Amino acid sequence: MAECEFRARVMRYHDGELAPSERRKMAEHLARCPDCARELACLQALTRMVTDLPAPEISGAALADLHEGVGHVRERAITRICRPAALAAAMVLAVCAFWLHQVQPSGTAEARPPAAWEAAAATLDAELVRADGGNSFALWMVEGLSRENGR
Amino acid sequence: MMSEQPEANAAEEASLTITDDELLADARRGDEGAFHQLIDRHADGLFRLAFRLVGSTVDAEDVLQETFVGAFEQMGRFEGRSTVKTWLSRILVRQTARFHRRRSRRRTVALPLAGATGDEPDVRGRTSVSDDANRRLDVDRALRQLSPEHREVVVLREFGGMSYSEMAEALGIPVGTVESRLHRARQALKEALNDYLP
Repeated sequence: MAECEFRARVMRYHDGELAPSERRKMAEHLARCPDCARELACLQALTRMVTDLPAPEISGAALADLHEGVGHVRERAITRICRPAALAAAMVLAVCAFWLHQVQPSGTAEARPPAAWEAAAATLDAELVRADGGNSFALWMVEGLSRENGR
Repeated sequence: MMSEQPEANAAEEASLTITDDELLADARRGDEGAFHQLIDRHADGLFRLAFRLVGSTVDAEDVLQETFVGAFEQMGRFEGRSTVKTWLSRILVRQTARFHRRRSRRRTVALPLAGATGDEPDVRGRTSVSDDANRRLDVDRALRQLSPEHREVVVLREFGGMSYSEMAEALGIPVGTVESRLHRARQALKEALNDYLP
């Protein structure tokens, strides 16, 4: 005996997957086709049996673990972002410190001899400078710098 | 003191009116509390799915943990084409598949029977093995003996209440494949549970 043409759609009817017009047609068909009606009863019984299984509930401790787990992910994400940033900052600092240590104010890496006014200033008697209000020291500085600049 | 209770109720009501999509959007903007609300909303339903997919409460808890961690990490990529529930279910299904792969690398056995692992959900008031309890054990056994692909569609449909298109989205397969898998899975269940069917 050939299978009913509606048979393939019984499962979709059971699962609420048919469009309203198709659903109406199927309902009419079910009223007069015992095979399809039996198939539908079978699917309904199966669904009842499966959904009738006891449903376990998540424990309070497991729920707390879920919340905690997400908190750890956030911390890990922050660490993941911060670690390379901190490493980069440390490297920049190290390079700067090395550069400051090596490079002189003139911008060259080679050490230059002190200017005359610097040498003079190093040997100046603090009392003498204080005595003329620092004028002679200022004069030496100007003269020294002028010489350095080729004036 | 008297006004605290109505205020708390109002806050609870307000949190219930916020949709999943709004909560996820808030979480994506950095509101961690919004993501915790999503956990509270969906943990129980997803746990039941996980339990039916992996077969024990301990494994279900692990899979669920990985699911929410995965969701937290991937929420920036959620495009809103499905509901948040379907999106979470998809992550759960992926984590379950991972779980099965890991387990199959270690050993190849069918899911243990609930009663055999002490994980059978509590059937309260059962003093002797009744017909109902026997039937439940048989249904549980039949469900566990399905292939993982067939179990997925049955669990998502019957316990998750998902439509074919939602299942297709969650499983990453065409709707037609969902339908044929579900049909074959139900055929297998019908054969295993024939004695209980009309």
